[in-house]
Amino acid sequence: MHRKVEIAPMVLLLFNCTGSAQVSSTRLADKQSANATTRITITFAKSPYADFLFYCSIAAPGRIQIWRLLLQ
Amino acid sequence: MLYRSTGPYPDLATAVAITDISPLDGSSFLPEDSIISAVANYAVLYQLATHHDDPARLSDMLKKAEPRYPAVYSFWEQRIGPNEDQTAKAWTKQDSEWNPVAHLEQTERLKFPFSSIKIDLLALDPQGSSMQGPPTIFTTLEVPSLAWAIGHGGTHMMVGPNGANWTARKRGDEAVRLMKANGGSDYDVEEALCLLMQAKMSIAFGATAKDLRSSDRLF
Repeated sequence: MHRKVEIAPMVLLLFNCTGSAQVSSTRLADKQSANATTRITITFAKSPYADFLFYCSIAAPGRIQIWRLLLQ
Repeated sequence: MLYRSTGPYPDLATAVAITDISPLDGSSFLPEDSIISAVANYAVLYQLATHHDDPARLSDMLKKAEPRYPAVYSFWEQRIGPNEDQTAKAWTKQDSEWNPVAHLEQTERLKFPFSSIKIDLLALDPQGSSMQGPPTIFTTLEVPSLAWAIGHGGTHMMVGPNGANWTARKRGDEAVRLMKANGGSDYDVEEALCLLMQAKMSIAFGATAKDLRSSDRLF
């Protein structure tokens, strides 16, 4: 997993992303007013059945905790 | 000791114990399918399970779990569902104030390939995922912002087959070769970018510390 994160700057270069991995929040904020034009529709949903199935079907020794570390 | 997927509700394990229900050996798409398919009653789950891998195993799990559903639903209705509603409300506000897709396009210099996204809020989903037909992000509530969720799931959409289709781009094959030479796969190349962009977007939005380094948490 560590290697995946290290290779990210190379991937950014592959896609010609702005400023590679060093893009700063300030630079992004500066661009917001000029270029932020794309607006998509976002809808949200929830489901007790889906949450129930995750609860019942998944268990692992430590796996869930690792993912929670990455998410937080 | 096996950890069950209780998300931020560890007391669920004692409120509705399921220790006698064996978890699945591998992952299943049935939980995500149940929300995609807008399942409205338990009986439908059995039919839905027939379309997935190892349907007999899924059906057996559903039968053993069915008596617990009313109690879990009561817990969900009181605790989980309201939190999912609050997250939807908060993220709607975030979207109106700081357009995550536009920022993602600026950073990646790519066009977002869809005009809409459905975000399925799943508090007990341990890791999140996405699909592109229709464009859907499945997310836990434990990510810090909408920008984080779209930074990850949206990047998959932007560089995947419906978007920039990165494996077909110049030097894409070289990136794949390098990753495979180090024990990874082509998917790992895309995932690395998504892990980076989830943090970058949330940092830019202001919901994540500027000095966050995900790699620090991997050891």
